[in-house]
Amino acid sequence: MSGGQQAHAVRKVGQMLESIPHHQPKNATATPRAVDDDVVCRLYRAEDWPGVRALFGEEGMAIQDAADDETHDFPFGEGVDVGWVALTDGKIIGVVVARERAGHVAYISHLKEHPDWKGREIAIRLASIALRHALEQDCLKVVLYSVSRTDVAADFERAGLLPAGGYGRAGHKHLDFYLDLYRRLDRTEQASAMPPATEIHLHDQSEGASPRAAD
Amino acid sequence: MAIDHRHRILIADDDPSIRTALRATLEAEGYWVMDVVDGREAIEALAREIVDVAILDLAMPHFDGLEVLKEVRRVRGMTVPPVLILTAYDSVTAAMESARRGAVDFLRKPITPNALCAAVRQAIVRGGMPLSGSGDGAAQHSPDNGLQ
Repeated sequence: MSGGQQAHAVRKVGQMLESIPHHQPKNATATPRAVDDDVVCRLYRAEDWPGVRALFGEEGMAIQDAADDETHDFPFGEGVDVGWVALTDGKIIGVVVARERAGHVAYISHLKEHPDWKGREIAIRLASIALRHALEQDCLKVVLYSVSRTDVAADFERAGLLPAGGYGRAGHKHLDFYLDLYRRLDRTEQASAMPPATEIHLHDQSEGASPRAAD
Repeated sequence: MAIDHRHRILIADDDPSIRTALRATLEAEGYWVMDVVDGREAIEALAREIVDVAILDLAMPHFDGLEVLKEVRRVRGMTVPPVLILTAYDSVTAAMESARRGAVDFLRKPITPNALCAAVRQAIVRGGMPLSGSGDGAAQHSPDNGLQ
């Protein structure tokens, strides 16, 4: 596949992912976008740090396991990163970071949701935003550091990404996903009437429909 | 022999001008200050000295500020003093990782003397406890003109 075809395919996928609920538009400002009755997702701001620190709570005290060492796979200052937070009543209840590096690779890390908000798909929403951002940046590979988030990994697969095992520079496990361009091209050309895979998973789940209908 | 009751601050930064500026600011506030030039010296100092607050540059030779925090926590467990991470990087990842690792504040260079002193005071008052909710931080979390 030539570079032009590849870029075209990525654009196609990006168009399909337009329907991912709750995403921030490209070059988004910090304008909040409602994602639920009382939950808002927006870009991370510097003044959010105390709230993020409170979200992580005392977890930092327990981080001694090298397997949980996410970010030393790449030096600080390398690549471009952007974060999003989920808030309700001014309280930060979720966070995620997407970092883009050369070679069309995006890293999604620091995915965290408040334990009191489990079951509201806060993490999945944030991960979907980060994924969409990565695809808008024409990333062909997405690395998910939150290996324990099998629900998010499944969501990525439903969005048309192929999973592959991966290990970082320091030997830490993470989840690699590759954009399945051939599958996506085939689908987009033969079935434009079909709803995008990512259109279904959030809203319809809450209404009791099958989240895997698009697959 | 007189006992020095002043609060003890450790500064770890590889930039001598930063160390000088931070030291001058904090000593003017009455703190006892020691400084080191890299992450390895910071780990040694934290193992040897009793300090009330550690101000760690994020990017230092040998060990960066977060590696220092991780190593000291590995050795000392819960008895790590409050750590302020100081950085010139406008990196969301660094900010998140600092929060995840239990730093009590994330300060961006340049920082004003007032913001620095406020952050140190908060760290001393709160000990290792995290800052509460959004916007509650004493230190300013945006760049401004001040100490380079």
